[in-house]
Amino acid sequence: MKNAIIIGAGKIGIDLYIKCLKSKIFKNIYIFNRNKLSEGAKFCRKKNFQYSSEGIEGVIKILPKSNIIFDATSARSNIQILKKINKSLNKKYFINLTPSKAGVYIVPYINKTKVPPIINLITCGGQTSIPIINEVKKVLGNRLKYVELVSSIASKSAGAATRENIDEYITTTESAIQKITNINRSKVIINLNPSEPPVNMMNSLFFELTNNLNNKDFSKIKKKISHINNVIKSYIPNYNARIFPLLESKILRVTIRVVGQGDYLPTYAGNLDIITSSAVHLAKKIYEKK
Amino acid sequence: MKKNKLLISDVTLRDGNHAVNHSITSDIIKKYCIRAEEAKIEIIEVGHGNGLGASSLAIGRSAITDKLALLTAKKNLKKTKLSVHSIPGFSRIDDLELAIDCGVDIFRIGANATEIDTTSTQIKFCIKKKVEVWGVLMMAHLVYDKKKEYLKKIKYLIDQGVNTVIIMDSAGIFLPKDIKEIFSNIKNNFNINTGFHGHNNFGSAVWNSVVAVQNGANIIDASIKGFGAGAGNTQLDILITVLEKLGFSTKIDLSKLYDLAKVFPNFFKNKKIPYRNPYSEPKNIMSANYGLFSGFASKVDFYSEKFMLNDIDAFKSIGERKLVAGQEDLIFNILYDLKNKK
Repeated sequence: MKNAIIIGAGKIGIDLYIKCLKSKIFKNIYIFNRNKLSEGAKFCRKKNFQYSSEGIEGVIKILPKSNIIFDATSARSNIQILKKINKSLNKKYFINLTPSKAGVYIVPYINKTKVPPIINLITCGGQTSIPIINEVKKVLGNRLKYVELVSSIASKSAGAATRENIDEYITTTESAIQKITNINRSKVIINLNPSEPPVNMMNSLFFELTNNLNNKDFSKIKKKISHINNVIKSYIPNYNARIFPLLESKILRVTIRVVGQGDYLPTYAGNLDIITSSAVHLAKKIYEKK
Repeated sequence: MKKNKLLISDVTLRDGNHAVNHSITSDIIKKYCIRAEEAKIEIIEVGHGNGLGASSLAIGRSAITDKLALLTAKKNLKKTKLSVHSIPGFSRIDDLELAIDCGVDIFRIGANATEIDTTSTQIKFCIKKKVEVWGVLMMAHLVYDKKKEYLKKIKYLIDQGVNTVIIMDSAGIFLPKDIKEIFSNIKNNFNINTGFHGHNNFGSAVWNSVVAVQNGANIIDASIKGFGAGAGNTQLDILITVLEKLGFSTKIDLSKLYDLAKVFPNFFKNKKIPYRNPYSEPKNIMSANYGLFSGFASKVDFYSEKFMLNDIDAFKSIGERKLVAGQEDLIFNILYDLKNKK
């Protein structure tokens, strides 16, 4: 049995802790942050998680007996954490759940075999949309000129780090889209919606084409999308991409709704689920092999 | 802190871009800036309706790049300052860097008021770069409640290092009594520059702005002939006349301002999207009543026509979903489903 460390006891860290528990992959799961008065810290104590507010110093102490480290802090903290522990990682896996650019961009749907030691899970918008963008690009090739992603998430699902990292969120998502799918022109927009009751995570994709889409390609893409839905549903049960008939010339629209499993935050927080579920899914893959 | 005198900030070339689907060209910017400078308008805001970096398929593509728009304006302005609106999530730090390089004088960093903490990174960046930065509470009605949530949001902005805050009535929902309460509470709690940005859905934009000034506001956003999103903004030409009449002095040359108002529609001759006078249609009145973002109007019109829906029904279904500024992409989905339900 393996031991896992989660750094960061914010919304993502705690949701991940619960998903790690449910996965039954790990003997021990340790969770660290720096602020013992935070809401997350209180929750950890209440639930008797193996929690400590010693921060990175605490992490270093138990690093030797751990196999995998999940970083659920912020983009800025991620860089500092990696500086401090990079040399002691050896054969351990490090999964970056912050929107920093450290590590190899991985989308489980696309990267089916090799798992690098330092993994970057991009962002919630990136995890949600890149499988679709990649398949559309495969069908259309150079006829795809530009892609745009607009993600709306419920205000209540966005913690302090998310709010501080809007810029990193955009630049990392755009850079991952370009790197993984080879599309040079992309734009990413993010919105926080304060509505009550909170709204489910929603993503709109706009594909701009050089010419109008023919019926054959449209049904090819439609088929691919239902395939993606089926595959991703195996680890994110309520992932639902939907393609719309073409209404504007040369523009194809796909929307993706992600409803969470309600582990830490209620089900509207699909943006937490997409990234924490991807992390646990990868961990399963790593340890199933061995 | 020493407060500024009454400043008028002209948002015609930014908010007005909503009225023509972001199609304002560099020749319009040039013509406008030359005349606005002559009329001694103190600040001109230029850009896509949703600000820096917002040109997109979801919201609408700008006819020209941010860079060309800003450089054109800067080239034609001397004493008049150039400002930009920036909403983190649409814009990024690179966009601010570009705007600094183009010579922008004032950076107005805004977010839907409930999410004002998303502005902190950009505000800190502006402070580091030593450029003038203001905070903008967009959709301010979302934090206008009995608990005076807006005071907390203003306090947050002040804590980030901002000393000028704009209250933006993006939905056009405020009435003069609301404005009186908001601005007198701000005055009683903080020593900062405050401004008001109105929309005219309920026909009260000018009067709301006057009440704001009477209760301590020292910056007013307005646009020529009220040219702006949805039902339009505070009408600049009326506002200045009324303020002068009430004894508030501005530096603006009224006769030059009237000239500008008269020629402004001609700037749009032979353009892709023609000029039309702003007017609060029943759908705009309803939109305000639901507290919806004024900038939605053009998107709702476009898809209602495409799906052959009654625009009143369309606004109703969007109002019920409580969309906020920035969620223009979902207007399509909601109206698509509305059409297919029928």
